Amino acid sequence: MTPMIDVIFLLLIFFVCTASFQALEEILPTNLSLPGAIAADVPVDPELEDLDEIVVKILWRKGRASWQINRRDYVRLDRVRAVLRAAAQIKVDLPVILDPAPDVPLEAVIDVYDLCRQIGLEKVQFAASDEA
Amino acid sequence: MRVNNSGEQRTNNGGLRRRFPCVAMLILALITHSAFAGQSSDRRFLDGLRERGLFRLAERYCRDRLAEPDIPDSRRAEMVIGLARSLADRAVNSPPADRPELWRQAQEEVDQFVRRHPENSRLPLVRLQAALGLLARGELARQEARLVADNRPLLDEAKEQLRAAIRQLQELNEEVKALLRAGTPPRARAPGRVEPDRLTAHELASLAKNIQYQLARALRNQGRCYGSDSPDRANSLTQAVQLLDPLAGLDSTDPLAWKSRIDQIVCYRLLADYATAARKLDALARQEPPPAIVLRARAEQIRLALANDRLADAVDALALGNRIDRSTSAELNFAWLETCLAAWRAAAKAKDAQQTAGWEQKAGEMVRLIEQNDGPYWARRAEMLLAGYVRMSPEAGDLDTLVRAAESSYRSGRFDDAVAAYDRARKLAAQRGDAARAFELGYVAATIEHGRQRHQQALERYRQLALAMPDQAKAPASHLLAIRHAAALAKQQGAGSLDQYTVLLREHLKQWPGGTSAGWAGWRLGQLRQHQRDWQGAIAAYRGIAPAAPEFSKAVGAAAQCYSAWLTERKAAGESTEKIGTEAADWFESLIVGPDERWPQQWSPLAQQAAVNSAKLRLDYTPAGYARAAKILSAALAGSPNALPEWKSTAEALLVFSLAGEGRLGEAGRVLQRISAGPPDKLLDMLDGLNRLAADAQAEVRAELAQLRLGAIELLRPRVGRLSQSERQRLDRVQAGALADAGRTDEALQKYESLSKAFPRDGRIQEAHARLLSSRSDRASIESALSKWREVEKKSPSGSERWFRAKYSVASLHYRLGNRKQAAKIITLVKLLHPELGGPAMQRQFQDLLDRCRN
Repeated sequence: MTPMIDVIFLLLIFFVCTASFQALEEILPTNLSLPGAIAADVPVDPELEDLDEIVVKILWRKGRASWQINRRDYVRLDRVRAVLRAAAQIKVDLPVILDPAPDVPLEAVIDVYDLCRQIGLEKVQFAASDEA
Repeated sequence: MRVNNSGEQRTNNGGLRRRFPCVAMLILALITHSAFAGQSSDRRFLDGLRERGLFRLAERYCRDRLAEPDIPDSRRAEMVIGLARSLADRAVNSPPADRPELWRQAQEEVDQFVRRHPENSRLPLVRLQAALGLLARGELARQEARLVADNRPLLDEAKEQLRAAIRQLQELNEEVKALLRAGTPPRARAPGRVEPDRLTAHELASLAKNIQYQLARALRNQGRCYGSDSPDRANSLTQAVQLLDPLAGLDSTDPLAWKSRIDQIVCYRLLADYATAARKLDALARQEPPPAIVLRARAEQIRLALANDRLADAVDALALGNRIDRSTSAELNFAWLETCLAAWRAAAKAKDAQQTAGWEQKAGEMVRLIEQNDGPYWARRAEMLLAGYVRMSPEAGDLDTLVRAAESSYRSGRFDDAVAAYDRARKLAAQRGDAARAFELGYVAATIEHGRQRHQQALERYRQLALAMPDQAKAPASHLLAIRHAAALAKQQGAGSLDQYTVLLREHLKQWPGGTSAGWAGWRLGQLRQHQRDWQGAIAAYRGIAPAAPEFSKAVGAAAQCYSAWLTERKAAGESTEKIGTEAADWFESLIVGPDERWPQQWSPLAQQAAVNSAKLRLDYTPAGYARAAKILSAALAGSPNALPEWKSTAEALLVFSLAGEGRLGEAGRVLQRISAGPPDKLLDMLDGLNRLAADAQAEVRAELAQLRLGAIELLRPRVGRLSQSERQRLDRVQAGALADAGRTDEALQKYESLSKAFPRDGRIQEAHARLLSSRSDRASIESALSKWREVEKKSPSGSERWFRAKYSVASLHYRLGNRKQAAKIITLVKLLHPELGGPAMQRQFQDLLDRCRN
């Protein structure tokens, strides 16, 4: 009996040590970007100064998501992916601001967010209104 | 195309004479209502409105009554039933697109009542109405499913609605039976304690019978949703027969008796038990039914014969007539139409042309009769039946029938069928030599595709129609619509697909060169060529526009822009410009002279514009053009006393410049002095004119213009103290520009710095300042310029022309500072986010800079 308890304890300790805990889905590594709330005391990367931030608006029309990147319309997510991938090739820490319309389902927002992370864009933020 | 939305519209279109009886009836009904304000009068009133197709009025009446305070339970229930029924009736009589909302409203009214008044004693009646709404919806879907090519969605909808109706009716049936079993309600048991809202035992019994009848109706419809050999069909119909059995055996005075007997015969026919159906029909005839039932029995007799493949018997039954005294039956008229179509089919099969044409004509007449007598619901059913038959019968040869079928298909949302029917009608009209009708029908078919936003199909149809019949009055308009669809396609598919659009524009100009639409096509072709920087092509298109066309005036302005751009490019490439410049100037002058080859006394705005264009070209591109320019400008200014100030200042500035260029400096000075002696704003206008000239001019010309401006400013200097604040600012602005153009950069920078501070939101000043800073080559100035351009970029709307210029300048300055990688990144990102890059000229500049960064 005793050896069996020893073995079980050893197995328990092994599993506890090797387990990797998955991050909770709601803890998205991102920030909220409020209009006019860009922190003045944060040092600005000189390389980023002349590079545009990428604003991805997520819209919901006729029961389907559509997107605008810097005011340009896209109706297919693979086109959005291509643009974001090309942007990441220019600079991976280009600021990307996700600006979903109020009626957009959360899944559609998460799709774009996941896309940004998959591509490797490091600085993904959410736009928020003043009331937020 | 004829639109028949509802009974109200029919009434409205009918004119005062047709409206009068309805209005009279309405007034009568209202009087009746006020005199006998009981529940039954309400019901009669609403029934009257609905019979006349005045559904909205019925709805309004019900809503008004429901809004009354302290309305009794029974009346509230009655009004909710009336409202739901009116909405359902309107849905049945409306085009398919309008129906879902009406069904929803009807359901919502009933549901709301059930939620808010669960204790209402009339609740079973309201719930019955809810089930009847579902039943009506299912029945309608089932009827329409018979007549469309792809009927599965409609059949599925019918089954779903009917299942729901049956479920509700069965539940209600059980509840009413339970109420009956529970005993006689108090009203009947104790007359002293009257509860008028409670349903009496008699009313409950009637309700139970009615539920049973409606349940049988729902089951009959459900059975018809399945194939003829389906056990589901047999099961549903058998249940219906069983339910109708006790009702059919009721005394003939019962309102449900006759209807149940007829419905039972229908069920037997649908079960293919023709012998029993015929026997029951004979028995019914012997019972001396009322006229309405006799007419329905005749309809059933015809259908029985048709189902039994006895066409001759069905045709013979037509001889019995379709009215008794003043009674008619929509059901019988419809059965007549079915007979006509069956006879038409048989005659066509037997290749009897005379009989075929005869029955086809009779079918058309029956549809018209149903339209006139039986209201929009039956009219639509008749049209759909006819359309369904025409769609499946290639032998249909009557133009009106085909058009009617096409209209019906269009109204019921079957656009492919409608287009196919219109095509057949068009071909038929063309075969008969009626070109105008053929064109009209083809145009309608194309317009259906246009309405569906099917650009390629609409384009082809409009184009083929216009080219096939170019002499028709609407042929150019049809071709123009084809061009618009080509434009829409090009927009969808990107800039690479403009070939079709170009071909169509050229085709239009070739086919209808003198038409009123040629101006529009020429203008569009010119715009396209201009966008493609094909200056010669654009100029040719603009010059081809007739002077009488409304687009001519703007085409002259656009042609001037094209000449200017073309000549600038040639000059930059070191090519000759004199010949083209002279030819262009001559053309502009030819627009000024009248038929007598003289300049006009009074110069029109077009002549004024042409004079300025001509003078500019002569000054810039012809070596000895100063004298000619001065002459034409003097004449234009003399003949245009009421010209716009902007034009006048430009013309005067050009005159000063041309006189100076000709060497007549004294005269130029005199003109300047004359202007400066007048109000200062006139001189400032002239200076603005010189500024505008300088913006487009070559470097050496710009320097000369700068000297002229500085001279003029000197003339104004003694009066500076008298200038207003805004005039001084204008003067400073002109002076800063002139100093920069004259190469006096330090002085210009000083001026711009103070202007920049004074006008931080003025894009022109900020940009000119940034540009001037960029013109210097020392590192400090370049860094200042970079900072200034960043400011311009931040303050300009993203994607605007100035924003692109600022972006380009920022990248260019990085390049000059040795930050090639950063410059390349900026351009690549701008190109990614804004692929149009601010137009072809900017695109080339960006690309050149990017290439230099990568080398």
